[in-house]
Amino acid sequence: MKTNIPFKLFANCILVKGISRSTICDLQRNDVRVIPNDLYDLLIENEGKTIIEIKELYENKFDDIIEEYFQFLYDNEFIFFTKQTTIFPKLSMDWSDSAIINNSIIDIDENSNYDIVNILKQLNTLHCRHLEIRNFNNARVNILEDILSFLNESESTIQSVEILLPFFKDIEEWITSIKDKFLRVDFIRVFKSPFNQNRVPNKDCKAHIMFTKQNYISELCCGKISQKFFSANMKAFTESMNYNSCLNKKLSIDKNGIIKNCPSMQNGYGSSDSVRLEDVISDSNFTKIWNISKDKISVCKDCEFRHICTDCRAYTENPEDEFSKPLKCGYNPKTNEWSDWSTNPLKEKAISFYNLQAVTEKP
Amino acid sequence: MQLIKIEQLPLTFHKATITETATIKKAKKEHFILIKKIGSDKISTEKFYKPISKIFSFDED
Repeated sequence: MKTNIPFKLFANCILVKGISRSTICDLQRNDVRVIPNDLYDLLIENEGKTIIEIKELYENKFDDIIEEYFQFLYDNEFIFFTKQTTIFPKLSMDWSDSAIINNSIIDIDENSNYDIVNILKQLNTLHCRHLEIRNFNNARVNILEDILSFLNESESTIQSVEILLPFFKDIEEWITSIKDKFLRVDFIRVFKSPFNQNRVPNKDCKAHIMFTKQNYISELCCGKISQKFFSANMKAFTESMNYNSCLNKKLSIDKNGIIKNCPSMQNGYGSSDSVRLEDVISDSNFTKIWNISKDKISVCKDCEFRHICTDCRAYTENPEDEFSKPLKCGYNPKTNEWSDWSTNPLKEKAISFYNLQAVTEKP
Repeated sequence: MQLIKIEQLPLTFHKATITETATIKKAKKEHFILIKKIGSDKISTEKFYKPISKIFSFDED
């Protein structure tokens, strides 16, 4: 460590201040470290100074702590030393995407009876690139295969397809039959399975396959906030700084064929069989929710994880407040503790409002 | 000079908290190794940069 040369944070290492502590998000390595707010302040106020100068600013009373801090930053490659500090500009935190819609959710269950191919054609004109198909209740493999075949035949803009479906007797054979045929499939999540298993992609199967004993009965199971969903990459981080980290450029179709921002939302924009997706997107009511960034959401705006976290506008602590904290978040940024959101007595009213009692029951 | 800060430091200055790092790091590295394109002669696919929906987490169970 060079104590007599000015330090700089690597441009891809972004500081985020929370109410009780901060984070350094390394957006190149998908790495997140928790740091005290004092270290955040020290870095913000003194970038471009040498460690010797910083120690002197504190009258050399905290030399050992400052040294430990910088050793931590240096060892983890968050900082580097240079005399030419001005030639390393900050990265732009702007976000853009050429697609009109860049991700979509299509829900089906045993009663779904709407024209999915019609939707896929329209998603293509909107340049949609990522699709998740969620099949609740009974598996409808014929529909899933029809969707995948259409994407192949139409050379769709959709690059990746994730599938959520329930376990059925011949699912192994089915997965084997589709894995080489439909290369857009990159994630298959199987619920209500008799076993838990995680199969990472390999040379024989490019799709990630997971089995869980959990049962996901419907869209009511969505909207969970967890460290497991954190995304510390440039695209997700900058999107979160500017737009809603879940709903921006998302269009969904619920199990009844209704066009929505997300299948769990209350507001619908008409049946996909009779309303064009393009018309829905030009409705400002549909797109205004895209602008609710984490910095505007109660509690989230004080959280050190806010720009690597996901959001949920469908289930919020106060259903009447569009800027309310996600209901299914159990993190308290003041105490820095995670707890089980479903047993929090302060959330009982909202859980009841959304009829979420069934999904909060423990197996 | 930041004389005010000197008075504040003894009250709040403490060692870097890195206890949660391991958990976060594990989830991240395992998850995002998938972002790498997995070779195919027929089609090039790329994983989305964030979870599309939040039902089934990466390492649930």
